[in-house]
Amino acid sequence: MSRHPKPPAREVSRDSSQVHEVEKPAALIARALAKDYGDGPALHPLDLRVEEHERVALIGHNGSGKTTFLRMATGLLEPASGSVTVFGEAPGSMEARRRLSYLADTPTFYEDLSVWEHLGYTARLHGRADWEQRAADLLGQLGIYERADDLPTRFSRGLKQKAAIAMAFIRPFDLMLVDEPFVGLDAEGKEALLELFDEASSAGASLVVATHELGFVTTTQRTVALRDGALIFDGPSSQAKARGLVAVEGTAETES
Amino acid sequence: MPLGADKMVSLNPHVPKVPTVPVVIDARAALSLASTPNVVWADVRWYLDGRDARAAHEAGRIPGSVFVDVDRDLARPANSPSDGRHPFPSPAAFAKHMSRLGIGDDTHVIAYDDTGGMTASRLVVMLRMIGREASLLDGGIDAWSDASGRSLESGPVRATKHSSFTPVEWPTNRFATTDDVREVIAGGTTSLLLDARAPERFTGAAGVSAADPRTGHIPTARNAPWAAVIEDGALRPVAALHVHYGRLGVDGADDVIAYCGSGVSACLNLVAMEHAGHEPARLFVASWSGWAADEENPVETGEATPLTSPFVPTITATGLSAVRALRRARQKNRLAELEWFEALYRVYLAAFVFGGGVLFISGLVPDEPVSATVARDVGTFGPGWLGLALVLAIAMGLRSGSRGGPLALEDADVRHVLLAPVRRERVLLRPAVQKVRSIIFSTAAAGAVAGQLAGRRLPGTSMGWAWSGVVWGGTAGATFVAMALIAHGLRMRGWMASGLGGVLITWQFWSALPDARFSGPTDLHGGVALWGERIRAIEIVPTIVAALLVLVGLGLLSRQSLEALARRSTLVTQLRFAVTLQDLRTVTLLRRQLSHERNRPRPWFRVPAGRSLPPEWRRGWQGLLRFPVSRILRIIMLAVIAGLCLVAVHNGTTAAIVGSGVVMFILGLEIAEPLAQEIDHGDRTDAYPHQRGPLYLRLLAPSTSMLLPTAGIVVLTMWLTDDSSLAVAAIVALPAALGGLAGACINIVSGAPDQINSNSQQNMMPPEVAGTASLIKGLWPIVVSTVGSLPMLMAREASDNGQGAPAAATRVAIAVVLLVALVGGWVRFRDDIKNWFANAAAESRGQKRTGAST
Repeated sequence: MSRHPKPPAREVSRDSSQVHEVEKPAALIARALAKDYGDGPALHPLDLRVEEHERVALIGHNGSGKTTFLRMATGLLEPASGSVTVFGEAPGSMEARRRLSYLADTPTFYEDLSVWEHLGYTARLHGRADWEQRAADLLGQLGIYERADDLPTRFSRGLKQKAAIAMAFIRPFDLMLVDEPFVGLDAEGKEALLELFDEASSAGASLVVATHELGFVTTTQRTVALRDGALIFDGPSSQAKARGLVAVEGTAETES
Repeated sequence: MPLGADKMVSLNPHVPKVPTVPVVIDARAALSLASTPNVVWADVRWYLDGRDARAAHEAGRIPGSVFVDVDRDLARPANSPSDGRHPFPSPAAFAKHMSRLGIGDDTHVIAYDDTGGMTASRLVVMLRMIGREASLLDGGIDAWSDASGRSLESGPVRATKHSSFTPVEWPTNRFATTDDVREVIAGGTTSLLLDARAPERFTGAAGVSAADPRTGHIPTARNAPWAAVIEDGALRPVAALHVHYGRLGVDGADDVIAYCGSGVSACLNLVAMEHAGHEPARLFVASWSGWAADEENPVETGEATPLTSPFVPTITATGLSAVRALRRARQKNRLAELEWFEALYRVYLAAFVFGGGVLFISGLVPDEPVSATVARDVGTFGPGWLGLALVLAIAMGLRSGSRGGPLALEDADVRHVLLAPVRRERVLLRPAVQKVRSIIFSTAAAGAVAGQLAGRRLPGTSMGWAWSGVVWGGTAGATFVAMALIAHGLRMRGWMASGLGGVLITWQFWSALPDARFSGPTDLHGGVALWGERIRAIEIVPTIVAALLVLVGLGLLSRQSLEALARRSTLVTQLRFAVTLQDLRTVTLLRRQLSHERNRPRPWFRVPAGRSLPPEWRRGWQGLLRFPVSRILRIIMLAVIAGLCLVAVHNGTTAAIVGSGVVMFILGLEIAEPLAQEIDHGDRTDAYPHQRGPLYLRLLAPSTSMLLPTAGIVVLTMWLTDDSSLAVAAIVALPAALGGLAGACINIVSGAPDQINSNSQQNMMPPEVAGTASLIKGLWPIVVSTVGSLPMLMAREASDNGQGAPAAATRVAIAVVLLVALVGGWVRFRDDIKNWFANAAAESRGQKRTGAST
């Protein structure tokens, strides 16, 4: 253990006592949220509050706990201790599932469904019957309209990511958690995704995006940085950049 | 984008020229044209709901614009109802109206309204059809206000100076007549009909009204509501429009016919399509008002013809019903793909080999009916021992449930369905019931085989024994799944599950011992297995309880852990794939991951440093020394079971030799881990400056030495259960273990990628041959492993014939060792042999070629 450098002293700009104030509806509240996979802590107790309509960039090295945090907020992982709520509801509860859209780091598809069928299925699962127009628009925007009738399991990494993006956006949501969405995307794809994020923001949704993509970080007000499972920065994105966190933590080339 | 406008010229000599201005113009560009003298702004506002457009024009208009009255200037009164409400005026009348409005032959008309183009498009379409310059102002009057920053002009309609507008015949190729449409419906032409009305009028849901004397739409038409191309009062971006019309099938159609209620709003579709770069479409001017007026024209109501591929049914449900609809559709697709003949053939082949083969081989050495004393003992002690199956099922079920079992969903189901706002217990019900069914089926089948084998030696009919085996096995299977579901639902901890299971097993085991004075918890269940001999009604109780427990387990489905389901789903997808390939090695590996079994981060003890040890040996030991406790316990348990099987063979149950073979094979797979790791990472091995064969062989050395303690456990087990077999046990244990390891090696090594890709060859073979080949490939290692246990059988035969059992066993054991050595040689020289064959084949081909050329 001593081989690993100690994380620097925490520099949390937000007063953590603020979190325990009277309940206001917030998109995401984590209270002393921690996770342990059995070989050391993956996420140290984390306090975080994401307001409605807020847009947050989540940065950190590989293994810094970003994915662990996001998966706990979706309910795909159970916290070892502490709690997390989505609009005041437990993750994985019906209400939370209705309002939260999760775009995972690894796209997952059915082997026997086309992109179009995936979109229809996802939309209908979320109670959206008038999905076709939206689906066509999303695919057009992402530049994969021509591939609508192909099986996404046979796609390249970048195309798969585009299909997964369309699936995350076809359904209604109030909070979107996104894990490394720019990986493998070409320039057009990145551009389209940034546009989609902007549309979601202007529609009032909250966004938490784990990414090193400067193009996104610069559009956010707030940046949260994790290192080795601990929060090391939570404040204005401009300040994060000034401190070199974005440049040091986020060298997009090293992400794979 | 090709607009096909030039084609139009060549087709119709009446059209003198093609419009040069864009069909849609944005406000900024329009403003820059405002100073040009020949531009006329045309206000084409018109309201379906009866509001006065002229009043709106007088209240506020783009300065200098003229008022165009849709009913008067752009249409004529209908001669008959089938003309529709807005038939085109005669060319002369149209020219007169245009002249009056100050629109001449060279005028560029910028038409606008306040709906985003729903009515102004009619003027644009009419003018452009005859080659005049006209554009739709994108965003209409509001866009002009925003772009110019100026205020609107008000006041009575202005009088304008007349211009000269030469009448031009309407070009027939830009229209569709009622007869044209009838031909489309009849299937005579492959035209696409687009209906611009709102969805509820299209489907007929809006009901009969003044606008719609009959409800519905023209058969085969698709709904392209005019409002769908407008967003925030303006046309949607070109890319979105292109996608929109592409989705409606415009790209694939030879010809597109647009219609709406009365030939007005359809014009917006025409304009938007041209704007998006599609070929110019035809207008069915009579539209619905004309079509529906003729009672003879057919009408269709409801949704449009589905647009998705005809192979997958369109799913119209939402939420939970979407899940059900999708499952049905997928099942249908899957079954359609299945080659029934081939599937049946495989089932037949497997049944023949496994069922028939086992019975045939066990029949070679006849089973002896047991003596009366033994039969009585079975009746006395049987329930206790056979009841162990149920406590084991309970213990295993609890354990599986505490680790997140027993369900295994598709990865995509976890991600997409379980994270959707759909009730989880309803989604999980089907996989859970399927799990219950498949486990009960397999355990009942196993019970049937066991009962059948027992019936050969015990009094009673074979059939009776087989049926009691079915009930016995099925009950145990059902209990297993039920306990797993319950333990998972109650989130039972691992230690609790192990503790509870351990207590039950100990209790039952203790009660089964000969001098026990108390009965075990599952004696009743054990009694069921003896129904072949006698039937006691009370013994049905465990079966009923098992059924109830299954219901309880299904009731707890809503409490399943999403984390566990997510973790298992990825692994289980791979596991299923491995099972279909009959690759037992992969199955073992994945099972290990499923049960969360990880290597120890620190070895039990360090391999002493020293130069004398070859690197492969060191690496092998380093791997073995990281085995977790659970794996070591499993190895010990497997060794004990193998010992019990060998005792059974010794006591006359010939078929138990297969059990010993299989168990030893699995044991071998566990122990041969270092070799397996190397082969799993073949690309790394290929990077070493060594031949693969010798490397593999050296990696086996630590595993082989691990066989000694294993064999020790086997001997100990045999001695404890049946002390008369000690001498033989000492001889047969090691060959049996060696056989298992050899079988495992064959399985592992033949799983390594070949230098020549054998996959394509496999695909070329007829299914009968390929099926047999893969079956043999899967079975062959187990056969070798079973051969390792043959010395025990031979020892029994010899002692039955009054000869020295140890001597007989030794003779066969030597043969087994020779066989194992052969397997070792195959591992060592496998590549060399393959290369030799490949070279020989290449050479002979080369000779043939030279022979042919001379």
